[in-house]
Amino acid sequence: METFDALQTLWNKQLAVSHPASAADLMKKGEAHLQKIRAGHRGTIAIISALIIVLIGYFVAMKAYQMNGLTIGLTLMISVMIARVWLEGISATRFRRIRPDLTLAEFSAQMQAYYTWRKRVHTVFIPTIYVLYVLGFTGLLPTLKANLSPGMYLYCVISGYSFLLLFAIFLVRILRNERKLLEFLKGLN
Amino acid sequence: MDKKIRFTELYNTHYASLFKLCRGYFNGNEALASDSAQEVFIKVWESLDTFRGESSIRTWIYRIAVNTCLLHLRKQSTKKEKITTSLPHVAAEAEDTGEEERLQRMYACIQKLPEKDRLITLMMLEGISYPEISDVVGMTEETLRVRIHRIKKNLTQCVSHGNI
Repeated sequence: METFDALQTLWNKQLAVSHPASAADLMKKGEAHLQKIRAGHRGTIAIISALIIVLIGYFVAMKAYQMNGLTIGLTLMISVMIARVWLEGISATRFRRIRPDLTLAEFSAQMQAYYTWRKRVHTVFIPTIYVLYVLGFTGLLPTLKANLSPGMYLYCVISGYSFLLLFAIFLVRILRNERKLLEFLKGLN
Repeated sequence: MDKKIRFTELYNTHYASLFKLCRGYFNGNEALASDSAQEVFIKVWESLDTFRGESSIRTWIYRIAVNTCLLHLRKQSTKKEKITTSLPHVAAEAEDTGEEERLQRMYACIQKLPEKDRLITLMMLEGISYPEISDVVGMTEETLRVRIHRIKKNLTQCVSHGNI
């Protein structure tokens, strides 16, 4: 029968570990990572701003003040895209706020809270956004049919709905993975 | 002290031990362990200014390491990577062929432990004191001692007989 002391001795006998990177390399990576986070913030703001500008630009350029299928459809699609980017921004911020130097108990509790929020996002907010996006896209179709050639219209319909289908599959996969992770975190306690 | 000098000192002092902890956690997978250990030090660099000395610096680094190992799962689409191509070896001077085998059994047995027990075991093997471990995992020292007693029993039994 083994003793723990014998196992400890065995553990200590393992080959020495070499440092794969220098401290300076890691400092550089750390700084690059911080810059990436800041760039991510700016990117999110830039995407939302661009979408809002496109939406306003459309209304101004097309003088589309009356509510027709095209206007409602485009407004709906761009609005939910803004909502989606904003939600992801909130998620990323919430995730970054979880400090890595908490105790394991605090850390896993905060991670659980985070993934519970993500679960709500994926089961309530994203499906709502998705349905509104589909409605927006469907609302556009009569206008597209009237203004495009039959071939081009067919292309828009097929590519549009295919994208929506693939996106739905992608969302289900994310939801499944995050649920697994949530269960795992709950299992820690 | 200058941040860069302090960081270099911490890296040189703690990298090997943290790497071994990560390697044990990822069932001997050197690549995952190396990635995680480097990620730990990137976080150390990013957060060093916020360290207020409420615990020892080693405890603080181990907290980051333990949470990073857990967090690594977020990047993996599956719960944990079980596959490993080669397990670590004992030092060349330890010629006993049985030791390689025992070490491999030990790694396999550590994998069989529940997640939190696995991390506690690895910190114990890396010579972290009980008060420090309790501060890293966030449980009382008394509860930790009871838990460690059970872990030691399970681990030795597993390495001896192959089951927990």
